[in-house]
Amino acid sequence: MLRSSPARMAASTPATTPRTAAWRFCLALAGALGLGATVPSPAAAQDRLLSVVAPWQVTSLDPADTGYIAARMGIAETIVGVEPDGRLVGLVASGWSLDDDRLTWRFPVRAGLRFHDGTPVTPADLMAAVERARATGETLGAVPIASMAVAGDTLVLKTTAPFAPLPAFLTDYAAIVLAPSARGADGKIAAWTGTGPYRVTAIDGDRSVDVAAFERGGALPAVRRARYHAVPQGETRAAMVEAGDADVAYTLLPAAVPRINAGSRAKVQSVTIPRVRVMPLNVGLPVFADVRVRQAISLGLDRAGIAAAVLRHPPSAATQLLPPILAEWHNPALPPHGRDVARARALLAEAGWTPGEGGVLHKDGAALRFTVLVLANRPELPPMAAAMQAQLREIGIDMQIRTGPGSIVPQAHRDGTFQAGLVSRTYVNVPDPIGTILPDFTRDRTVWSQSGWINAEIRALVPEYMASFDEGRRAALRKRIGEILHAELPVIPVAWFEHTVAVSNRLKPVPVDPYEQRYLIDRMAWAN
Amino acid sequence: MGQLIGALAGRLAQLAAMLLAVVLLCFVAMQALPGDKALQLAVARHGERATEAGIVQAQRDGGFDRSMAAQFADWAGRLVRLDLGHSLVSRRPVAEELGPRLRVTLLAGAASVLLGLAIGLPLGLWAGLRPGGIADGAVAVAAALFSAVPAFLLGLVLMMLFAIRLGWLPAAGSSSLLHWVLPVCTLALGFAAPLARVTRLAVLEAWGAFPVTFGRLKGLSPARAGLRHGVRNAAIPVVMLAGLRFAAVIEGFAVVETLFNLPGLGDLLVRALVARDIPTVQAAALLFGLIYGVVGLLLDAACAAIDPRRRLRLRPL
Repeated sequence: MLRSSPARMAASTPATTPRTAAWRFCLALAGALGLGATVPSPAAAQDRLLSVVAPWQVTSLDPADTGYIAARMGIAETIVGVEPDGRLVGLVASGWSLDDDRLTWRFPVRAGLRFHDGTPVTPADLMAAVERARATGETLGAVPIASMAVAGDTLVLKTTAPFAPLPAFLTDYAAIVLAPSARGADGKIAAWTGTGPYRVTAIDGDRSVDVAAFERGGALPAVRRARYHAVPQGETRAAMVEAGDADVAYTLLPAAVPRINAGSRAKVQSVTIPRVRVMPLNVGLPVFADVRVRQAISLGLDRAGIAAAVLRHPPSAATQLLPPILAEWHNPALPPHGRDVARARALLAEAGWTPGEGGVLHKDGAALRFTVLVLANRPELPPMAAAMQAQLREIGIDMQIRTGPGSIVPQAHRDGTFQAGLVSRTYVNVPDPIGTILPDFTRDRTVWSQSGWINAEIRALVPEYMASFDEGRRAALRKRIGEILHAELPVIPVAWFEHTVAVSNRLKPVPVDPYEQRYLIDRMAWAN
Repeated sequence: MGQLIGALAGRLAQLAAMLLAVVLLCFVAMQALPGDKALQLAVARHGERATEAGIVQAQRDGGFDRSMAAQFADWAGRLVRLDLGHSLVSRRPVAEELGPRLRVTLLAGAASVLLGLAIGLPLGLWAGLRPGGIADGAVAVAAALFSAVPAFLLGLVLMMLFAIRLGWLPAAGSSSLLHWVLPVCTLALGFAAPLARVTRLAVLEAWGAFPVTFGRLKGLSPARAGLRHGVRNAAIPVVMLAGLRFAAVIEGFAVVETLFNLPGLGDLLVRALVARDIPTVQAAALLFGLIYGVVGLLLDAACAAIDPRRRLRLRPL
């Protein structure tokens, strides 16, 4: 434990001068008063507290709201999980099988698995988790479930139509499996009594969750105690890890990374993850209905410059929608998105746009002008928008910027004022990007993505992909879906996302889950 | 005695009327805020996974489809039964949400005001008793500097220096007493600066006024004349500033709370406003109004105790 008692530390030190003795007395007094000096003690390694800081507050215990915190901290598990290398593995289920009808799935409960309250996990608990998530979650709501039943130690789930990515959809955090005792008198989730390697010992409002290792299969993880701190302010998270108050800090501001690395207490690890900063467009507007305008916007953007100067991570420049980490979906054969001002101007001229007042292009008396809604909750987005504004100005496009809270984009979709946005969109709500492609590109109404883009081919390919079990056909479908999105650009990819994690020198390098499903604390270890 | 009770009852009636006005205005303002309340609430709950189904659920939970009068009547009816309702985001009782945060904010506010008094009063006194001297100049410069620096910048500087560079104090959090040092110092320095300036002015005026001059003419030493005839007069603006500043600290604590990750009322109020969590916003507004009202009452009482001429003003209007 890092917060060892100063009194204990004084007792283990052999120095004897009156001055140091007085100092030790002060430290001991401070310890007795609970002042919390942060001094490591090798003797207390078993009790070391791992401090994790991340931006997300525990606003409620409803798994649909904050189940990802329970899953990431290793408190609760889903039926199926994903390894950092993308492999799907059974978590609460020991695995799964599909009957010959391609509709009936079987998920046997892992043998001997118990909840933190000591009760055994049953297939009925899995069923309850799926039912709960279907009622509120976007992901499992898309699964065509016909029925669920219990057969011995197995959950039997039938779909109305073949649905190949079902195991991937069952990684949705809204479907974490919780004990029946986790429900309160009103039937709502009142506790996180899960099956993970850590059990909750305390929850302090919406700011912190304390966990302790839970023995499974006779083994305990190396890190026995951990605390999740919700720290919404990016600068504060960086300061905490720089000051040694935190051992692991997730999601850092680009500007803080070199400063942390220059210090002596922590180093930053980063990995590109399947989250993309994209500019969704309202393709229903006359200005964006012409694909040449969308392509010109894409060609006008200096993604490499934005990635280097704003994000300070040059590999983040998006050459296509989905990053290389999604190996099945990323297509190296696609021509990379890049800046070509001459080609952009030529496309706009071809589309009938001619130079007008103030250097802005005009067509039929209307200026090539639109407003992009920028989410302020991602601090890198406003400076990215400013850079994009200047770059597009060079090709005669007047992009206005409006910054606002997280609801600004869905609000504009609802009231019909949406023109364009700049958002950070995850493509792995489930480990298969189809879970995001489905709502973003095949529905008439979207919440976070483009609007007005109706592509019959995509709308046929996506359901076919979900129903297909033939890996060869699935690969062909992935390729074609990627090609269409790449050429049509209903959303313009700008930068991939690098998941930054500052790790204290007190820890050995930590595994980073690019799917953002788990912090993998049970796989972390102290450096000494 | 009867006059005092009457005065107190009158002021309490004023306080009740003020609270009613505050919650009514707050309710109307919440209704007038632009944007779809159900959508804002759904986004606050589910983030980027907010869906149409989540928005419909939020609409139902918040009762946003009902008339404004019906919503307010519902809230007021519960308030009469001392029920502040449930937060629309956390679904927990609002009273449970507010309680621990009120404690944090009151503790930090009180500690910062006390520390600010301990710093600002002696400095102001020192400067006021030696006008035009080096000490006066130094205090004026320091006061101007700390008055001008925004709280978040001062907090950042303190955090960088004492937490990161020197490693003496934790950077943020609230799990031990040491965690409170930096936020309290940030608030206290911001309070001590104007306090020193006001104290200096008050001392200058009081010490140069007729009562102290008269005391000197009576043969009292300068110190004795000042203590006997100057302190009371100088104390009134200082007490007023301290009281108002305490209320302002409670209200304006959000920036410091956010920077140092302290779970206080300001942070809750800001998030509730963004989420359109009306029961929480209403309860917080009620609480802030109550704090302002009580502080105002205490200030009047303190000023009346210091200056007998003011006791008449305690009478109800």
